Amino acid sequence: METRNINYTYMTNLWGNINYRQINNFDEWYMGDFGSAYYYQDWDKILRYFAGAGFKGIELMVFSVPSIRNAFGSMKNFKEFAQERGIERITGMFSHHVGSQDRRNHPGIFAYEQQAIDALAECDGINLIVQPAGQYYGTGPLDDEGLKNVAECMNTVGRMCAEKGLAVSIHNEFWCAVNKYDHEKFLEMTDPRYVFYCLDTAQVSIMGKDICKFYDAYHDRVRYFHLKDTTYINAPDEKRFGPGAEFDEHGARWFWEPGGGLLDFKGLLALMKKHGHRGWVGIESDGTPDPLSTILLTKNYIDTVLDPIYK
Amino acid sequence: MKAVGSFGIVNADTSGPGAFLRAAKWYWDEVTDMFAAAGFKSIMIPMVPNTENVSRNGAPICTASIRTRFGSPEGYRAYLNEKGIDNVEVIGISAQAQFNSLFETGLPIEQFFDAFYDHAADCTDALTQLGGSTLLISPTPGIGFLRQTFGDDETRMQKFLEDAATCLNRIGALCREKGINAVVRNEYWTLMRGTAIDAFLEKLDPAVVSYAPDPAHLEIAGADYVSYYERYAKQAKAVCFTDTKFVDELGVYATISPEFPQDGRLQRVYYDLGFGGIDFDRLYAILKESGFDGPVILDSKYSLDIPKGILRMRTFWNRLEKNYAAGEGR
Repeated sequence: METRNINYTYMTNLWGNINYRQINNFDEWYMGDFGSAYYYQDWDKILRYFAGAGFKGIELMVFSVPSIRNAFGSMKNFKEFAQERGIERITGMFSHHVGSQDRRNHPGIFAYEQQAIDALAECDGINLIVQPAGQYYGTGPLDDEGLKNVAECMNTVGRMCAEKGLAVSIHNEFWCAVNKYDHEKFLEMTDPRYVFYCLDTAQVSIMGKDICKFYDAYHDRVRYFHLKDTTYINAPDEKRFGPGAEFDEHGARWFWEPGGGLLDFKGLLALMKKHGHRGWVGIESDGTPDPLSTILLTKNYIDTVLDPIYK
Repeated sequence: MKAVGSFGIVNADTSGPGAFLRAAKWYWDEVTDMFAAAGFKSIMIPMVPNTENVSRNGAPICTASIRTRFGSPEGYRAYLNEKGIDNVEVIGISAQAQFNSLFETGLPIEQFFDAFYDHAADCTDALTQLGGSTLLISPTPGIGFLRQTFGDDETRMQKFLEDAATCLNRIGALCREKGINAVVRNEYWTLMRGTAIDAFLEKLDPAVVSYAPDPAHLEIAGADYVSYYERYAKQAKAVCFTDTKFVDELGVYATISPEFPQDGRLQRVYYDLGFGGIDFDRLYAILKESGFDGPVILDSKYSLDIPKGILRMRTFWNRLEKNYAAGEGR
C-alpha cells in the first residue's frame, strides 16, 4: 500500500443537504419525470461517488446533522454506513459563530457548538471548521472589543473541542465580519494551543491575501485546508461587504475546483512539502453546478498536478 | 377561484444537485419569470423563521432575506410587479420549520409558541405589504419530533396540542386585525393529521381561523379527502391542491423523517400536480358548485424538474377548467 504524507478529504456541501439514506426504487424517481433525480438524493450513492473517485475522507456541514440523524438514527450509524462504502474517515465538520462579536451571544454559541462537537466526536471526526463570525454586512467592521470577543469565543470552543479529542480551526470567509484588515491580527489573538487555521485558498485569495505567503508565514497554525480555486483574486471591498455576498446576485461563480481558476496550488504544495505537512487535506467545491464533474476533475488534478509535487 | 402558484415547488435539497445555486437571487429571478410566463399572477411563498444565516440567502425564504435583497416587502412586491406577478397572495408558515430552527437558535421548547407567534406576526405584516390575503399555517411539528422531545409523556404532548390551539387563536385574532385570513393545513405527519383535524378545529375560534383542506395530506393520513372538501368548501377561505401516490405502508408519519421515508418500496411522497392519484376534477367541481371564490394554492411540492414542474402546474389548472366547462368534472 502506498505511503502518503497527505490524504484528501472532500466537503460534502457541494451536493446540498441529503435527506435519504438510500433510494430503493429507480422507477419511483424516473417514470413520469425522466430525469436524473435518482442519482443525487441519497447518501448511499453520494458516498460511493466520493469513494469511487478515490477520496477516502469526507467532511460534513453542521446543518446536515439533524437530517443525518433523521436518516440514520445516529452519527455513529452514519459513520459505519460510510465506511461500508469505502469512506475511511469523516474528518471534519463546518460550523459558524454568528454573533460572536457580542459576548452576550456566547452561551448560545457554546450550546450550539456542543451539539456540533458531540456529533463530530460520535463519528470519530478530527476537526471542527469554524466561520468565526457572521457576515460582514450588518456586522463589520469589528472594533477591538468585538474582535477580542470573537477570539475568546473561538478559544473557548477550542477548549471544548480539546476535551473531546478534537481540534478547532478558523475558516475565514471572504464575506465574514472578520476580514482582510484584521485577518492575521485575529489569528494571533487566538490561543495557539487550541485554535488552528483551515486555509480556504479561494476565500482567503478573494479577500486579497496571497495564499503562499500566508501559509509560509503561519504554517505552524495552518493545520487544515480547504483547497478550492477562484478567478476573483482580491475582490474589492464593496463586493465582499455587501448583503449575502457569497451568493452573487447575477450568478457569478466565486469558487472552482482546483485548477479551474488562477490560484498557485503548485506553489502551495511545494510549501507544504517544505514544511512537512502531514494529514488530511480538505477539498471544498461549494457552488458548482455539476458536483460529479467537479469531483472527477479535482481527482484528476490531484493525480496529475499535485501528487507529483507532494503527496 | 384564483389559481395561486406555490414557490414550494422548489426544495433547495431535492430539486437538483447543488443546493447553493438555489440560494442565489439569480435563480429566483428566473423562477419568478417562469411563474409569470406560465400565467400565474399570484404566488404563495413558504417561509421559515428569520435567522442570521438564512437572511443572507438570495431566495425569498424568510422576511429577513426579502428585506436584505429588496429593502422591504413593498420593495419585493414592486420587483414582482415588474416581472408580471401581482402579489404574494399567501405566505405559508410551519411549526416544523420553527422546530427545525431550534437546533440553530437553541431556544427551549417551552418558548416554542411565543417564537412561532412572533414568526406569524412578522409574516402577517409582510403579507399586508405584499398585497396578500392568506396566512397558511401548519400548527405543530411532526409527531416523530415531538415524541423525541417529550418521550412517552402523553400529558406533555396533549398540553402542546392545547398550546398550539391557543397560539392559532392568537394568530387568527392578529390576522383579523390586519385583514388577513388565517387558515390551517393539516399535514399527515402533524398532531392534527387526517381526521384528527376535526377535534382540533373544535378548539379554534371559527371567526378567526378556518380550515384549508389539502387532499394529498388527507389521503396519506387515510381520511376521505372528498368528504372534507364537501364539508368545508362553503366556509373555506383558501384550499390547497397537492398531489400524491404515496401510501404510508410503514407508518412513516410518526418517524422523524416523515417527508423522506427511509425504508420500503415507496419513498417519494409528493408528485407534480396531475401526476399523482388525487381526483382533482371532483374537487374542482365541489369548489365550483359551493361558490368557493378564494385562492386555490397549487403546490407541486418538491418537484424534480422546476421549469417543467411550473409548466405542468399551468397545464394542470387549464385542464381542470376545461374539463369542468365541458361537464367532465361533474
